[in-house]
Amino acid sequence: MWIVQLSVRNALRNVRRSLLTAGTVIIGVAMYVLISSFIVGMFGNIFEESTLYIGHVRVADPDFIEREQLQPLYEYVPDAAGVAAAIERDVDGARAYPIIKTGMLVSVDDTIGDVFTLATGVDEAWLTDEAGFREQLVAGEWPDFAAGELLVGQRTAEQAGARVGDSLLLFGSTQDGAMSPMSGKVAGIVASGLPAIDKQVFASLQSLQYTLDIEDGALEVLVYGDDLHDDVALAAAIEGVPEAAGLQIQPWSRRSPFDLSLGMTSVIQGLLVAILVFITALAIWNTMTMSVLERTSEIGVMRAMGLGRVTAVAMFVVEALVIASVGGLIGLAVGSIPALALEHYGLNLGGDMIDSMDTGDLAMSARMYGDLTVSMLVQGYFVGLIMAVVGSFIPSLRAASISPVTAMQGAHR
Amino acid sequence: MMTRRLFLVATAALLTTVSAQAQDSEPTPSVDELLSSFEDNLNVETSRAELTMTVATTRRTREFSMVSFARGNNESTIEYTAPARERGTRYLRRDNEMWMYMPAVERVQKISGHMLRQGMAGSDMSYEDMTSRTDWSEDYSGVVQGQEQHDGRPHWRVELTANNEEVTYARRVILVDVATRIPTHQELYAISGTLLKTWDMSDIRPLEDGRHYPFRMRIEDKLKEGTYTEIVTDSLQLNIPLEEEVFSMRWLERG
Repeated sequence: MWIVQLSVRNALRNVRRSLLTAGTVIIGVAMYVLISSFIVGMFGNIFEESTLYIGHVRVADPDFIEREQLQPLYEYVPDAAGVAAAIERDVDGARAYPIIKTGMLVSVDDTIGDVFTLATGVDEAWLTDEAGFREQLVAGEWPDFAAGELLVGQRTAEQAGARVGDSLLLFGSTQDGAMSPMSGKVAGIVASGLPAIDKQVFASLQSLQYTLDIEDGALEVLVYGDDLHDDVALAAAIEGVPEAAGLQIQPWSRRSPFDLSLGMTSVIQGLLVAILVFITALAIWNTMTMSVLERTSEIGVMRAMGLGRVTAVAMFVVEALVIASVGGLIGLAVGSIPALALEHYGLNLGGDMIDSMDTGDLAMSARMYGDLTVSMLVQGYFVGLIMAVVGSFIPSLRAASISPVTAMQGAHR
Repeated sequence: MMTRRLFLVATAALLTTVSAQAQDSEPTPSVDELLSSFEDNLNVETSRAELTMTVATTRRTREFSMVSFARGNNESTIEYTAPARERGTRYLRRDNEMWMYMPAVERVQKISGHMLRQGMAGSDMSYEDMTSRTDWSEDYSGVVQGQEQHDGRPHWRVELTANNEEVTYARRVILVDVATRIPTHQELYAISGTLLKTWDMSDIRPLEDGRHYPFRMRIEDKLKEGTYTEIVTDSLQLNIPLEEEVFSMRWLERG
C-alpha cells in the first residue's frame, strides 16, 4: 500500500510530466475505443445486413456451392419448396425460402443492353418479412408478382434508365445454356442503401424457374433463425431433416468471405491493440526514463536504505499505473464521444467507392455505423493499463539497477 | 438357280472391290478442288427441311423439332415447332447476321457479340457456327494429307488453316468421303491448338439431282463433358419456290 501512496506522491511531484504521460494514455485509449467501435460496428453492419439476404444458413447442391462462381444453373435443388417446408416442419422457429439468383442483362428497349443485374426469384414473403423491401420502396407501388410485375433496385433502374411502368427486358440463360428472356413491368423501385442489393431485379420464384427451365427447383434454400449468431446450431438442426439429405448445409459464418471476415475482425483488433500499445508505450517509456534520470540520487539513497530491486521496479510501474488509471478513464470519455456520434450518425464512405468494390455477398452500405459496447470500454481501460506497464517497465529496470554508491557519487558531482 | 445367285454375288463383290481399288488409286485432288466439290455438294438453291435436333448432356436429353428454309448460301430461317417451351421461336440468318424472335417476350433480338458463341438452344452448335461464312475456298488453305479409312470407306484427309483471324476455327482437320465428297468428319481447333468441336455427317443419301446429302449430323463440343447434339433431317425438299417474305424481318415477327 505504501508503494501506491509513494507512487501517487511521485506522480504529483512533477505534474507536467505526469500530465504528459497521462495525455499519451488518454490518446491511446480514446483511439482504441473509437477505432474498435468503428471496426466492430462496420463488420457487425456487414454481417447483419448480408445475412438478411443470404440467410443464416443456406441449403444447396454441393456441386453448385463448389463451382458457384461459374453459376452452374443445372446444379439446383430439385424440390426446393418441399425442402423448405420440411425444414420449417422439423426445425423449431426456422423460416425457409427457396431462391434463385442469376446474372442477366437488362434493358428497357428491344435491344439487349449492357447493364448487368442479378435477377432474384423468391417468394413475396421473403421480400417483405426478411428483406423488408416494402418499407424501402422509393417509387411506384408494391408489385403484383403473380402477374409478372417486377421490383427493381434503384441502381439498376438508374443504369438501365428504367422508370415505373416501363417494360423491362431481361436476358439470361437456361440451365442448359440457351438464351432465355424474361420481361415484366416495373411496378416499384426499391432503395436499400446497399449497392449490392440495389443492383438487383426481384421477380417471382416461378418466373425465374421458367426462365432457367428448372421446374420446381431453386439454386438455394435460405433458412433464418432467431439470431444470426446461432447459425451453426441451426445448420446442425437442419442436418436432421430427411428432405435435406445429400444437400450441403452452410451456416453463414462458414461461408466465404464471411469466415475470413470474422477472423479479420479479431486480427484487425489485435493489430490495433499492438500498434497503439507500442506507440503509447514509447511515449510512456520516454517520460518515465526522464523521471528515473531525475531521481537517480533519490533512488540511490532508497537503495542504500534497503529498497530491493523488485520494489524499485514496482515503484515506477505502479506510478505509471496510477497515471494510466486516471488517464484511461479520461481516455474512455474522450473516445466515447466520437464513438457514440459514429454509432448514431455513421460515416459515409461514398456510394461510388462501394460501387467500385467487388463486394460479392458482402452487403456493404455506403454509410457505416460504429458499435460502442461496455466490453469495449473495459477492454480499452485495460489496454491503457497495459500501455503503462509496457512503457514503464524498461525505465523501472534501469532504476532497479542503480547502485547506491554510484547514485550518491553522481549526486555529489 | 443357286449357281446363278452365287455368280451374281461374286460379280457384285468383284465390282465393289474394283470400285474401291479405283477409289484408292484415284489421283489426289487439290485442296481447292476438294473444297469446291463438297461446297457444291452441300449448297442448294432453295430448300425446305424438317429437322429433329437432340441435345444431350450428362443430365438430360432434349428433343426439338424445327422447320428450316434456305436460299443459296446466305439466307436461311429456322422455326421451332416443338417442344411447347420453344414453339414459335424463329431465327433468320442473312449473310453473317442473325436475328431471333422470342415469342415469350414477343421481341426480335439481333444476335451479336459474345452471344454468337452461345449454343443454340443450349446445343453444341453455336450461333456462330450457323452464321459464320461457309466460303471455305476463300477462308482456308491447306493440304491433302492422303487417304485413310473412316467408317469402312476411303476418305481424303485434309488439313486446313484459316487465312484470316475472323474465321471461327483457326484449323480444321477434315475427312472427305472419296466417293461422295462429303466431309463426314471434322475436327475444329482453336488458334491455341485446342480441339473445340468434332462435327460428323452420316446417313448420306443420293438426291434426285445426283448429289449426295448427309441426313444426320452430330456435333460434340469438346470443352463440355459428355454432351452431343444430333440433327436429323426428317424430310428435305430441294429447289422449291419460296416466297421472298420467308427471309424477311416481317416473317420473323409474324411467322
